[in-house]
Amino acid sequence: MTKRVSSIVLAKTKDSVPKQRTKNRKPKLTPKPVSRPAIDIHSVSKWQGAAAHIGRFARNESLQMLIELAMTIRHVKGHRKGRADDRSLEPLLRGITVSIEKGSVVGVIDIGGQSRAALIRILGNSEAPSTGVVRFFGQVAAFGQLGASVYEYLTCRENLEFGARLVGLPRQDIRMALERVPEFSGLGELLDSPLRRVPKAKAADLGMSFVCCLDYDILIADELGRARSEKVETAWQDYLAQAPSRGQTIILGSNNVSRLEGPCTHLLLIKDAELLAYGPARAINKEHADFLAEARATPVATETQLVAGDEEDEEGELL
Amino acid sequence: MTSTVSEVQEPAKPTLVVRPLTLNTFRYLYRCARAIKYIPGLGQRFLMDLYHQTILGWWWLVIRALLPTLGIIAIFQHVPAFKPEGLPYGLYVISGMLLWTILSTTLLRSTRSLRRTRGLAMKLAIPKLVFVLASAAIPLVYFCIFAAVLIIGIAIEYLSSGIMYLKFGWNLLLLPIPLGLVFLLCIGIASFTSVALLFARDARFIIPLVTQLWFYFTPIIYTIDIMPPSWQFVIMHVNPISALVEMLRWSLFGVGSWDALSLAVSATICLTVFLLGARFLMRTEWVLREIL
Repeated sequence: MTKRVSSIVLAKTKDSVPKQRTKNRKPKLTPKPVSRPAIDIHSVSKWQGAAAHIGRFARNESLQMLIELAMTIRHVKGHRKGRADDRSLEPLLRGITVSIEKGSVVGVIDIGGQSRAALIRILGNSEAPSTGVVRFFGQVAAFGQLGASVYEYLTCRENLEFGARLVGLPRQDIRMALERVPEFSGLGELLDSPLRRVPKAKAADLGMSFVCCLDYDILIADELGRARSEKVETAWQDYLAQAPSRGQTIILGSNNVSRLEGPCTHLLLIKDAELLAYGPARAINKEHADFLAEARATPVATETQLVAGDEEDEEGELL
Repeated sequence: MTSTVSEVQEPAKPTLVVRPLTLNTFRYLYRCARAIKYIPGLGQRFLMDLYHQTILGWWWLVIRALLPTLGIIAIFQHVPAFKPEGLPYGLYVISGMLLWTILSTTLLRSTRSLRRTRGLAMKLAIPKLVFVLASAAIPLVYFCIFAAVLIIGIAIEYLSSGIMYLKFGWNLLLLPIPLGLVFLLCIGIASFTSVALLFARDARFIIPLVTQLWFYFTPIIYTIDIMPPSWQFVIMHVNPISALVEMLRWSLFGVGSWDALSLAVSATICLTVFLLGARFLMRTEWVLREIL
């Protein structure tokens, strides 16, 4: 089930060894790998759908959901073992094993979008895999988490600072990134306005600029296809183009496959929940042109999202 | 991007490891302990939500914490049967409320913790128990308010009557035991109720009702001596809070009736409920996203 990929990767590894490093390296008894991976994904699987086969037991929706919870908890061990024979579990990812090198901009592509979203959620530390381990070698920032909790009455700066603190980023890093945001985005004047007075597109631009200004080694980002101001778009493209020279690793996912093909140095293809190929974009484009054409043509399945946001606090009880 | 990547050798150990969810309760608790860095930010979030867009702001915390207690003291100090021996009624009630406020507020707030942060909880793969724990920031503030009022009350009694009711000695070392056990009990119960509230809002109506009933079965505004002996046994040995309230008063003032048996029963109940709650939340995490 696990598939270590591939000859393309090995060829790339040899090519991409910086000459300076090989020259300066002292001879050692134990040979070291040429470059340490930024992300090591080992045998990652994700199963879901245990609740899909449960029948209707109660008219009341809340009661039905509680029954579903009680019944699906029984499947937990099945999740754990990744039992393929359990018909109630559907695989989103199956035995994905790949090493992503430092300085790669990797686009994740699949048909339908569900496996890609699951992989990026796992890499972005939003969801745990059912089996397998992901190891990161460097500081990680995930784009999706930062906008998870926003307040209309706080300024954009306070929201960004607070959102970053919530996901555990150190204060010092946040402050440094906020200092760079005006230069990166050209939206410095909006940074200290209350969020309710800032147009949504510009607020999103500020959020993206903030993530780009974080001095982190690995960035995980999904769904960056929304409209942005021209300056931010240019800055973003430059940011992606310069990522390999900075040694920064970026994992990208998008519903629009053609958006990924330009900036990505590497592509990771997933077919039927399994890894189809991983390697330099040019080689993958040649080898798997049919798959990419199919991915471009297939409409992306709308992912089940939580509709309701956080609940407002309600007071009432005194004791 | 103005930053440049330094040429420092990367660490040999991974900086972050994403693993599958666990099915071992103690490993789950260990992962919670490792995710402790998230608690200040989450706690701040719970506190920020509390009284934003109000004119009195943080003063509401003080008002809401103290007003009911002051009302109880004002009315029930005139009931002779309620008065304890060797301690002013005000100090008796406030010391009881010091513990009770942890219970009632933690139950109320932690039950809502997952529902109030579910957008964030679904985007952050840390144990959900951390969210429940972080919501205890609000009871912590309540506790601090009551502790401050208790200290002021002791000082006023000392200045007015010249009697120092606070008993200095090794008994003060026992103070963290009742506080810690009550906290564990509340987190254990809230682990169940916070998940229940995600599916059925009935939980938010049940919790205040049960809490109020529980309040009457706990010797906070009355002394345990006024109850018939059979009730005394039930209150002390079935209700895990009673022994802890008495122990807290004993550790502060040297007044209070608790024995090893009642403490052992309380401690067992608190720890068991906490572990069962953590286990339930751990198993729930596997399927929560699918059902919601």
